[in-house]
Amino acid sequence: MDRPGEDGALAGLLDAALAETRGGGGEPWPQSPALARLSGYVAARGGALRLIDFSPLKASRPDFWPAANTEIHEFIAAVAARDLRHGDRFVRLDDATYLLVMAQASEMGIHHVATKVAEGVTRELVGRHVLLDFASVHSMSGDAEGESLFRLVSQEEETLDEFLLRVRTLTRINREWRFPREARIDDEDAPDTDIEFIFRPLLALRDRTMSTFLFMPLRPMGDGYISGYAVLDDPGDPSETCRLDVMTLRHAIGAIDDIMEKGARTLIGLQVHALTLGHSGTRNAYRKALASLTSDQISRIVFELAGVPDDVETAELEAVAAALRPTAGLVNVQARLGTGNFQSFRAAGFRAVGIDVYSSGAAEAEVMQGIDDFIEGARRHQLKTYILGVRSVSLYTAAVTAGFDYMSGHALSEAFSAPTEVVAYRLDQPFTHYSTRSKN
Amino acid sequence: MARILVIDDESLARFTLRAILEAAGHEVVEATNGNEGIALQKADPFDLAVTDVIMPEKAGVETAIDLKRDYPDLKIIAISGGGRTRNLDFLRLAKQFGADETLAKPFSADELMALVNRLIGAAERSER
Repeated sequence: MDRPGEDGALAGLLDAALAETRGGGGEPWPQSPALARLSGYVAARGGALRLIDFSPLKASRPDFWPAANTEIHEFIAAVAARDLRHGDRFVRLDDATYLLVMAQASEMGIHHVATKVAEGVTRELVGRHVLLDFASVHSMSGDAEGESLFRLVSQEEETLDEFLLRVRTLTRINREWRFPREARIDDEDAPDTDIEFIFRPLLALRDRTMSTFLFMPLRPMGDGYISGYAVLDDPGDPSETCRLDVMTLRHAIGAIDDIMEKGARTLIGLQVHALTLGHSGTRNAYRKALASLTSDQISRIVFELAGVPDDVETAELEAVAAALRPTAGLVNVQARLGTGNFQSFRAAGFRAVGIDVYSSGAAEAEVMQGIDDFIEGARRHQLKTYILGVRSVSLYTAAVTAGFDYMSGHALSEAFSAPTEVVAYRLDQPFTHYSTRSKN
Repeated sequence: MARILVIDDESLARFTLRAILEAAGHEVVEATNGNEGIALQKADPFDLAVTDVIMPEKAGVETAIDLKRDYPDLKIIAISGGGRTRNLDFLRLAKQFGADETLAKPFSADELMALVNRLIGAAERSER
């Protein structure tokens, strides 16, 4: 794990970096000229470099650190054995700091591995997904004078998940205007140019197929992405939610036309925000965009109403739902775990009610405690159920056994750049992947 | 007497399992989640592990995969809430991925002990 043999220059630079950072008389790593030279060398060859710092964990758990130190080293050795290729290196700079050099990796590729290490260590040792309090991942560049410039890579709670999305192939949708001029909403001339879209499959558990693809907006943030309405600067502004909803609808049309042309039986899932439909101006703008679709195109869309407040009155809910009809076909509603609105949802004519555990940020144990009641409440009112954002095998297990009708999340499947034909799904797929990954 | 590791996030389940197993003369150590269970196994290996399938952070099937990979001689019983068909699906998956036996809740003390005795007995015979 520690000593490269094939590349003499890399070996020499690593030796220098080790000497400096281990108290060999040089600068500590944030200012290490040796590390800067190493970074420049790696970058020039097309690779990338990351520094993983566990000193927050060491500082917060001094009683735990001596034993954790060994565990961390063994964990990283296992990751290195599994994920590193010829020419890649993991080097221990000091007892809390590791250097990862990936000779041929892209920035995304190396950050994926580094974040996996950091988050994996914190999860294994302290039982937390979030690495923010216990480790940090730094990228590094050297300037012309050889001084190192360490930049803390942006770390959000969903860093690992966003990077998993990022390493998938994303298709840039054609952003050219496709609708008649009169269907435009205000400020259409300034579209969001950095919003991208992915398709995430939705598993229907009864027949074990993925026949609906959720069409989701993403926006780059730091070295990752944020998704859904979080891409907006102000998710509480109806004009912003409307612009995003209309933009999403328009960009989905191309995919809908493709699946129709191929004869695929697939459906596309689209979100529309309650704020968009709850205000007359934005509601009219969305309905105009919707009216420009053909009935065949509409028949391929499953709408999901998002952003419904907990204290919504039944009459308000019915009005918002009615705004989508008669144009829209299938409409689901996203709620919160612990909601008591099942009767209202049923009265408003929704087909299914669901939760997004990724966006909610709730701890897994809390989710698992709440989903039985959620499903029971929905079933009592003849509503189907779905769960989105399932990002762990443990939550996948709990959600399947709890009885959800539909589910989605990266624990089940990667994101797609385009929808496919209906895909069969086996319940053991996440475990097969886990087993294969654990073995290597 | 065997050393048995019980892994379940529910305290009542752990209490019940401990009571049954200790009454039969076995030494029981509890873990509240899969990661803790693996750490305990690593620190001082057990003869048998009883693990729930549905747990937060690390599912029982994942736990069984990891335990069996690193400790192939460890016997594993996976347990899960019965009644729902999908629970039984995951018991089948647990067996596919590393559990030696499975048991659907609710089960009797006799049913659990029959599995424990069979697995511990088989382990002892293979050691001779």
